[in-house]
Amino acid sequence: MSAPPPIGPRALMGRSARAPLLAGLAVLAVTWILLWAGQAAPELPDTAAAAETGSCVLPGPEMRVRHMDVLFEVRDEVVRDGRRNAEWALHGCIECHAVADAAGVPVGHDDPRHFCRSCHDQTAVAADCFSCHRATPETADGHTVAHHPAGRAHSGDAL
Amino acid sequence: MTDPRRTSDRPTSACPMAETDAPRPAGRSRRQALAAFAAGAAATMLAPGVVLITGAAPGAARPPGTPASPAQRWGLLIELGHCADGCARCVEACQTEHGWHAGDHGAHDPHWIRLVSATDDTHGRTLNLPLMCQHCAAPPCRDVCPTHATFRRADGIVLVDRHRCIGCRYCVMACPFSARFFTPGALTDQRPHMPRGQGTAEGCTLCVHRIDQGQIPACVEACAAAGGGAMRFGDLADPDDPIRAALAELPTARLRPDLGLGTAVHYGDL
Ligand code: SF4
Ligand code: SF4
Ligand code: SF4
Repeated sequence: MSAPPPIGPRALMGRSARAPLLAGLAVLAVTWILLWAGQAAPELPDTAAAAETGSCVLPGPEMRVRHMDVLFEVRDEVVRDGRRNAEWALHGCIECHAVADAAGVPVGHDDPRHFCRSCHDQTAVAADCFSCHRATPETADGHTVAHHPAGRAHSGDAL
Repeated sequence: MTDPRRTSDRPTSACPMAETDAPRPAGRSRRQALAAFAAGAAATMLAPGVVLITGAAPGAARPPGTPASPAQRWGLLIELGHCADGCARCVEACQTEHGWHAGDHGAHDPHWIRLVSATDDTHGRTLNLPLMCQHCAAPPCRDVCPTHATFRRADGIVLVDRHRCIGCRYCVMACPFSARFFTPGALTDQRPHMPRGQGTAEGCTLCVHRIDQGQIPACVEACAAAGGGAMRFGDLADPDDPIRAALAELPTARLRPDLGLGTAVHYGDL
């Protein structure tokens, strides 16, 4: 009996398939660079809070490359293990980098000015964190009920 | 207290102690069994003059940044006899703390904690029972979860890891206490510490974000602040924790012990 054929990405990594794959990737990379040449690299918007804090949890270039690795690691530490460290919390990123509109109200992730979208839109990578996580700093009074369309008085008949 | 969902369309239970107030359409047999248990325990009375002191910080808070410890087992003791008629401060506190709201969809709305009222028609005594996730030692919700999104933390707290939840709702069906809920629509304005979102399951977290910082759950704190003193939080695994002394001293019971789930919420005056 012969060995079962490899499946998934491993099938592409067979000795015979590797060279064409690498060549294909190289062509793609060059095409990509040519397509993007002349466009400015996306930049994180400046915010007063970030300027005031002065430094991020990691140097900027490292955060640019590794922020999702960091977030994934912190996510598992907090949710699965209960190891909380406010310094690394996602909400810390939002407190510092939130972009406000002309009226001074922080914009949500449905607005292209949101700091995550300032890069993610250009790289066509969806940031779906905000389907659950809050994308803006919380209001000063700490309450969100009044802003919610379903917000209502806390009464017995709503239990 | 004028919700039309409340009682009219519910099947009349053969048990003397019928649950009349559950906002979710739990199965008839489940409701009957819960009620049967409550009926059996209804005769136990708290000794007059015994008042619980609540609101104390847990005895052995973990240093910040350390993982949840299997040496701990967080739980609650709720003295139903101290729950004032019409009081819903625990529910309000949970809503404010976690940002959930009951909308117009009845049983399909989230109720991380809700008040179940049950009346024994033989003598008319009514219980006002706060019901939340019981943080089972052997949780059926965890057993049925196909993605390990539902898990039991080292210290016994049962949580949904929404990053892994695929929204299959198995856990919602599996929980005998109807303590799991599904978020069908998009949400905004979540609390920063409590991400919630479309297509994921949720339920009482035992205020894990507060426990990890050495604080007591929001419902327990609100109950104590209101002078009710019905709720006590503590480490069930610590023989020196005041909750253990209270459990040894008071007649308490847990819901559905026949299921052998090892629930962490103990009720007095049930
Ligand atoms: S009460 Fe329900 S949701 Fe909570 S741990 Fe038990 S089975 Fe799971
Ligand atoms: S809804 Fe989510 S948490 Fe519940 S069983 Fe399905 S995957 Fe697990
Ligand atoms: S422990 Fe926290 S999440 Fe659970 S019912 Fe109380 S306030 Fe709500």
